[in-house]
Amino acid sequence: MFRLSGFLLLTLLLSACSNQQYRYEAFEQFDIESRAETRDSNNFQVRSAVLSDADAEALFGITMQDRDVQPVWLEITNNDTDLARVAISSVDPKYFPPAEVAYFFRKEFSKEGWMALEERLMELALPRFVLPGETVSGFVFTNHTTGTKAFNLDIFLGSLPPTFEQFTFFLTEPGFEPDHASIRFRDLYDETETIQVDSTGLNSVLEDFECCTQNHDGSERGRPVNIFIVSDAHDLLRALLRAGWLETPRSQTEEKTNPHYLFGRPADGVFRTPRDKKTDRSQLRLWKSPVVVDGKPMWAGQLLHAIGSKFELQEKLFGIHVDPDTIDGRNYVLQSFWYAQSLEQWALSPTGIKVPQDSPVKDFQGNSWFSPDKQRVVIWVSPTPVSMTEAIELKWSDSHNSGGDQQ
Amino acid sequence: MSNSSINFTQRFLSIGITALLFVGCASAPEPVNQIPEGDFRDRITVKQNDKVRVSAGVPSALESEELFGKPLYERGIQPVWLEIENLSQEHIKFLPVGLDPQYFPPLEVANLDSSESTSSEAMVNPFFIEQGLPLILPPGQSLTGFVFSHLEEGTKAFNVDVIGSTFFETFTFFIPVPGLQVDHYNIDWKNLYTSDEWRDVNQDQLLRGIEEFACCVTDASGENTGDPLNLVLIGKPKDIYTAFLRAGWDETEAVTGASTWKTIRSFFSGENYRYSPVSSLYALGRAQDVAFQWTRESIHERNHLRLWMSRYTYQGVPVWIGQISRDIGVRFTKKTITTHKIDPQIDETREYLLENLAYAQSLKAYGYAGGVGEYTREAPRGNLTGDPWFTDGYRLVLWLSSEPIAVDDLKTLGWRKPHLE
Repeated sequence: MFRLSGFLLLTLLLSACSNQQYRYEAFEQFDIESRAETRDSNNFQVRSAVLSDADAEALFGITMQDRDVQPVWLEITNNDTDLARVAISSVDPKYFPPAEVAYFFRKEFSKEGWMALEERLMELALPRFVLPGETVSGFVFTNHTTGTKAFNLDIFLGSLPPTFEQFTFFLTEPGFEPDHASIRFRDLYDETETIQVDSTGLNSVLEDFECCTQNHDGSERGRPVNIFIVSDAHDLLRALLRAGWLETPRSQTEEKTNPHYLFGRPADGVFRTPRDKKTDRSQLRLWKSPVVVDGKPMWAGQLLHAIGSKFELQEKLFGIHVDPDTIDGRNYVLQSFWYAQSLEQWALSPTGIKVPQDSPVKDFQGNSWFSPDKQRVVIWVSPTPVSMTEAIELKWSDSHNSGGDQQ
Repeated sequence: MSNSSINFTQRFLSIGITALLFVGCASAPEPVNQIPEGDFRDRITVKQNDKVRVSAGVPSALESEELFGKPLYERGIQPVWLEIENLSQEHIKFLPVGLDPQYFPPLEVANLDSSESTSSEAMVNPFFIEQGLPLILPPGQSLTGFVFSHLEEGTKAFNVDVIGSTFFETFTFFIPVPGLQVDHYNIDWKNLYTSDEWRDVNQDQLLRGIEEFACCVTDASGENTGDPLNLVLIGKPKDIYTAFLRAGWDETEAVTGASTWKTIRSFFSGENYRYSPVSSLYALGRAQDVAFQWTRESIHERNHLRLWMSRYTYQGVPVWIGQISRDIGVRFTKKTITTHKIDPQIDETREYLLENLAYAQSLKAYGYAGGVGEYTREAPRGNLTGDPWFTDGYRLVLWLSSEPIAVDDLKTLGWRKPHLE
């Protein structure tokens, strides 16, 4: 009873404080359009910009970042003859609807103030439908990320056969740069270093491919390279984002956290997957290789999965343990592309290193690992969505049976 | 080999035998409406087609601790035991991500309590490694092991995805786990209506039928109306469950007179609902047949969806009328003390569902029908707990698929065009 009375009293006190009017600054003051990036396709133009937290606070009159909300501005021009449907979920599957954002902040305002806030957020939200010849703009209220805001925008057209357009944005906040943005991928290899191969000949190229990463001076062995991805860089990034992988800021990929080397350099890109809101458990490290398969670059990689009681992989790698089982991570990456509708073709290549689980070896950081089969997975990324049943398994001779399939 | 390993091996031998016994009588009636007692080996469920046979069991909290020597449930981890038999002539792949997109690798479970000082060698735990399942299963062979999934209370509902070069099969399991205060029941879908009440309709009749449904749910008395019936689903019960589980929804069940539903065995044999209280709303003269929820960061941020199977079938597939709303917080009411505040922009939640199911590869086609009536933000309607809502007045029609469909294969039904009309 006492508890209930106290609670009611607290509620009354809070209500008494909530008499603020809702105030905000006009959209035109922010010149959002001038900082937008543009993507074009045959029938669409999409522009997008991300606001700084300070601008978002002024524009909406609420401190959205306190509730982990980040508004992303989008403008869509439909030059098609069909009604276009914008998939808001493609920007962030867990986006916040406007009324929910308003509800978060209702206690800061009077009832009228709250309703005014809700109305403004609804007015400024991105519409889902764009008529032929029309341009619409507005915000998607996404989950807050620090640094680069990397997302896809998918647009569907109701025509038959159905048409589907994808746009990928990487909007940079001041002071943030993803690790891969600093690399000039085109200049990594000259023509003499490039190895051109087709998919049937790839397996024999992989036989000579480095088994493992090394430390920075190449004097000690790291962990197996057992993931290969054939894809243009843009399609790869889009597929990774669709599968829920997060980019890593350049500042976090110094040698302390990124000590594994391949081709004489640390990973070109490190992608992370958070298991829950606060803890990152897995790192996918990718290097652009000199191999070009049917005209598309091949990326080499490995997955590190943290185990033990400390999980903050992106902050420190010393003092955490890495899952010694290198096969589970390899299989996980394959599945992440599969379920994200990005897997065009895949193959297992029995060209890796075999390390039985009863006699594990250690990487140069002292973390044990084993790899009871020799299989490496090769993933061909599709630029367009592929249902799981459409992904093709490429079989090199006897690839299933070499080295066994035991985990 | 340690004593515990010997015990474990013995256990597995007996699991195998139990599984075989169950396989032998897979067509026998399955117990329903009760939480099974005893070891999880007694609760193994078997599903199969001509290419794959999957047996699944879920150890309780106590059994998990006995099996693995750790209080896994306390750590939010629920092991799922699987036996997968490849009856086909080709290599098949088992995809644990389909069971839980963020499953725990065996050695993470083995080393839950390890510290920075634990030696790296000590973390290579052969016992746990053996419990893992390989990706690929050769023809004629079987595999057994555990997937360490996130804990779900009540009935454990999950998909087992198996893929071959020519097929993809999702086996959807609903396995009650003892030791939790939950109720379960089945609905006899086939006998929901008498044979002369069922009506297979063509596309025009279906559109008309959909638009003739009542606008909104009611309370038990039928006198007071609430949220709009803004959804129509086309799908067999299996399609519905498979699709929503794949899209990350959980089942819930109402805590009302709905539990007086007959619980005789259905063609959806032995597949129960996860029990988690949602209020009962009424349509077609009864409380919802099925309810799902999609939970986000907190208990106050959920999407709720209620479905009623109608008497219509389209191309032989059942048609459901439904209602979806998004909870955006909790508020106080005189009637119920606390209730969830719903997003008044009810169409926003409706459209979200389309995207959610499409990205989960669960949607074959969609379209729109009328029937709710338009209400504006300035002149909204209210639900049964007094929350306002407004809508363009259309029902979203979703044709579900238990086979994965890529988003760019999504078809439109070409009915009403709310955004052009």
